[in-house]
Parts: sequence; C-alpha cells; structure tokens
Amino acid sequence: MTRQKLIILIAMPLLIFFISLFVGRLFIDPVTLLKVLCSKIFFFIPMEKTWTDAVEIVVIRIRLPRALMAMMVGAGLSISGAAFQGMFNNPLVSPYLLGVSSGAGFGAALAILIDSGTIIIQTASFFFGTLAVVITYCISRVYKTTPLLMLVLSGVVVSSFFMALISLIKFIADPEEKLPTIVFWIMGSFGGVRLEDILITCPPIVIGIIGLLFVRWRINLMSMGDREAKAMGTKVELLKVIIIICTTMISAAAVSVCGIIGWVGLVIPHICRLWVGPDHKVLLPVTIVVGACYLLIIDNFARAMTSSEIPLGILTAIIGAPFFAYLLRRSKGGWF
Amino acid sequence: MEKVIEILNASFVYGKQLVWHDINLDIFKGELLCLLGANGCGKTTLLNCIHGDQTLENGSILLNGKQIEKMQTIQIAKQIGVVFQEHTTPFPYSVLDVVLMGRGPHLGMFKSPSDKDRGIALKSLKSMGVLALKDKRYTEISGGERQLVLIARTLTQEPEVILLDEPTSFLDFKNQALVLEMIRKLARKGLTIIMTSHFPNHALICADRVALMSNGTMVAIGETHKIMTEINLEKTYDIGVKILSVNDKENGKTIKFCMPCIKEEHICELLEQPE
Repeated sequence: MTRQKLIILIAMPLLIFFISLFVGRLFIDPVTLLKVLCSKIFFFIPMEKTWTDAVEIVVIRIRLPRALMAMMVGAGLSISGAAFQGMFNNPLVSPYLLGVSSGAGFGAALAILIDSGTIIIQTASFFFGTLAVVITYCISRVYKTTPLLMLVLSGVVVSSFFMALISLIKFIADPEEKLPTIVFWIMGSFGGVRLEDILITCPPIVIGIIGLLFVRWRINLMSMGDREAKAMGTKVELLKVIIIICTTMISAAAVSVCGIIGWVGLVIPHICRLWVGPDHKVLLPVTIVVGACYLLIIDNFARAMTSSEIPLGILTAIIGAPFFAYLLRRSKGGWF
Repeated sequence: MEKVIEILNASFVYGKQLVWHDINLDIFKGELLCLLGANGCGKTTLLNCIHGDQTLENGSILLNGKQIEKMQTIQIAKQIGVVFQEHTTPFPYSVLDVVLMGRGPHLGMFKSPSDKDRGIALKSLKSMGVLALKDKRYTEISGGERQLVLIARTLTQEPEVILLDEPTSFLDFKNQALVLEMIRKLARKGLTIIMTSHFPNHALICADRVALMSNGTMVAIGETHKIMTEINLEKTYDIGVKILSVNDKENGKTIKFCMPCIKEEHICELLEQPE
C-alpha cells in the first residue's frame, strides 16, 4: 500500500461525506453547516444559534443519518461481498448468495401485510433473513462438512423459496395500499432513515465488519480451496461459520433497514481488487472505504437527481450492471 | 533408521468399492520414497490418508508414533506439507502472498503474517531458486515455476515431511528434470519426501526407495535399484517393460531407465552414430 493510496482512502470518505450534507433542495452555506455540526458534536460548549430550525432539522435529522447509513451499509455489503468471493473462490459471488435478501424481504413483506410498525418490520426482516441463511447452512451440511457447491445450490433453493413466498404475499396484499409499500420497500431506499435507525443497525454491521477483518488473511488460504486450506492448518469449517455469521449479520441488518440494495457487494470488491490487488489482508479494509463512498454517492444521486426520489436498488443496478460489463470486457474473462 | 510414518494394515473403501487393502509401509527419516502405480490405483488417496484428509476403513497411520486420525489439523500441518496436483485459484495473488500462506499452521486464526514470516517465505523462495518471481502474479508464471513456488510454500510451513502428488505432471521435459532436481535437493537437506509419479523413470532418477501399487495392494517395496525390475514393473502396469542401462561416459556412472514395450511394429529405428 503506497502512501498516496492511503491518503486517498482517508480523504475520500471525509470529502464525500461533507459534500453530501450539502446535496439537496435546501441550500446551506458551508460555514453554517460546520457550525450546526460543531454545535451538536461539542454540545457542551455554548454556541450562539445563527441558523433556523429548518436548517438544523435538515442537516441533523435528515441528511446526516442518511449519509451515515449509506456509508455503513455500503461498507458492510462491500466487505461481505469480498469475503464471500474469497471464501467461495469465485469472483461472481454476492453477499446475498445464501438467501439472506429474499428471507429478509419476505420478513418485511409479511410484517407490512399484517400492518406492523417500522420496528416490527425491521425485526421480522432481520429474523427471516437470518433464518434463510440458517436453513441454507443446514441443508448443505453433509458428513460434518459444508462443501462450497452445496452451499451455493442450497442458497439458490432457499432464495427461490422465499422469493415465491414474497410473490404470494404480493398476490394477496391490498393493491391500493400495501402492495406498493411492499414493492417500494424491496426496491431499497435510505429515504426514511432516522438517527434511531443508525443506533439499531450499527451494532450488527460493525461487529460483522470487525469479525471479517479479524479473519481476513485466512480468507487468502480459503480461496485456494478447502483441501489446501486445511493442509495449511486452517480449521475450514470453523472459518466458514465465522464468515457466514459475520456476513449474515451485516446483510440482514442492511436489508432490514434499507431494503434490497444489489450490486454493491459484487462490484466494489472488483474495483478494489483492480486497485490494490487480491490479497484479502489489504483488500478487505479497502472495500470498507470504497464501498462506503460508492453507496453514499449513489444515494446522493437517488435523492437529488429528480424532484421525487428514485429507489436506490434501481440506481445501483443501472450504474452497477453496465460498469460490471465494462470491467468484464476489460479483463477479457481473466480475473484481475 | 528412524520411522517418521508407519502405515499398518491399511485399507480404504470408496463408496462400496475396496480401493486398496492390507498396505504396510514404513517411511524413514530423510528418505525420498516414490509411489508408482497405474491410473486410479489409489496413490493419491494414500497420500490424502497420510495427511489426514481422507480416513482409512481399517488399519492405522502413525506420524512419529501418533495416530493421524486423532491429531488436529494444525498439528498435522506443522509436520506435513502437501503439494497437490490439481490446483486453481481465480485470484492473481503475488507469488510472495502465495508462499506466505504456508505460514498458516504457525499463525492463530485471527493473525496475519509478520515480517518474520515474510523472511521465512523469502528464504523458501530462495532455496527453490525462484526468489526473482516474488512480485510476479502467481497466475501468470509458467507451470514449472508454479510447481517450484508451491514447493516453496510447503517449505514455508517448516514441515518434517513433504507429500507431492505427481509434481511433474503438466510439465515439459526440462521442467520435469528441474523439479526432480529440487526435490532431490530437499531430501539431501534431511526432509522426508513421499511423491507419486506416473513415470517409472522419475523414480529411477531420484528416489531412494520405491513402492509399487497395483490391483489394490503393494507389489513391492524397497530400495530403488532392487525393486525396479522388469518383472515388478510388468506386474504393476500389466504391460511388457524393458530396463536398460547406459554408461554415462562423463562421470563413469551407470544410468538405468525403463521403456514400455508396445505391440505395434517400431516406426523409428535408431541408427548407430559414427564415433
């Protein structure tokens, strides 16, 4: 890692974070913005209030939580994707591989159907997301091992099962009111994010990220295949469980609050590998930063590009898919 | 001589099929043993059982007197290094990163390699004569280089025993010789080596002892020059075999090699070269 890359990795997120607090219909000048932020961070120092309540609400209650959430989710999904790609020694794997997103989507759809509040929706979503992964893991466990191919196939099975359940709920949901809510929820958005949501989502995502960072060098060994990793002294099954628990905590938490945001966990690890190489010891920390910046930028577009908000899941796919195609062409099928 | 590995009355079953049975084999410290046998006779399976990746149906394998099945993955990896035959990774790690993976058994689950580990990895690369490759992409080096890098990786594990599964397959003539030479060098340094091969000549070139496998059992085990006879090889491979010797005029030694006999007429006849 060169010094130059290190500086970019530190400066880039700070800059983008600060810029995104400006983005939006209400213009706020930089000095006022800094003052508002400082008054909240250093709340014990009395400061003269020279701004309106509207400005404070927009910055502290709307833009700040949204930016923080976008960064946290972007970071979490990206590192999960990178860890999974290493573990499955396949660069085409996304963090939703084991069915967490369809499980979480089902949980949310079910909670919306029976008319629950936000907290219930988030809890149900987190629960079913985790449940889907547990089912996948149980199906794929044979002879005290979980072969990677079995995990992938069980993931496909469980995903389609929960997808079918989501369709079923959509089918019976009231088309005037609940169906649109479910559809919009699944498309993904940071629209309604409040400061309280950050506090709920933070622990699972941060713990998951820290867990993955701890085992990041071992993922190098895993990417050589189970047999070789074992021959080099790795407790392969234990490592799989650690990685699966961490990524599931992260993605279930992310989906339960923001809906299904695709492509981030697939594209960001590729970009980072292109930039700093495939060594997971370096790659994983870099995906955190780049993923956070990427999703924050996309979210800024989502909320400011048009007068009404564009669902985030649509934007990440519209930007992510062609970009991925470009990377594929550039690599000519060889993995960078 | 000190026994490092003892295989006692071992048999292995795949599904319902008996692959091999009643195998008894001792491997001594510092020797190079070559396992020969036809395709599918279970050479690789035997190697896998030795490092605890597959388990025997009957019998036992002892590593320095301890039963391999009762040992932990990490303990085995500290004593036995393996170079597998098939090997793919989609990620273009640098050669040094690949060799560093060999520090796996010596580092905790949550640790990353330190400068000391890096030093050991570089030393292994140097001893295999491929230090210059350290920053190259592992996916872009040649097959021969890759084999040497993988051997360097097992050296980084600092094991007592190295298992090599057909280390010369997929290599050209020169690289086969180069890899065999390096393996010989490791045996001279005191490492115990077990390798499998499809080429009896490779056993003649470098092995101290040979074990011949056929039809689910051992045909013969013993010192290379005593075991590598036409009769034993014919039994092993079920074809006619001729063993020939040539005097190497440069160093006065006798070189032995073997040739399979084919039933079709010879197409190429060697002409006597005028001296």
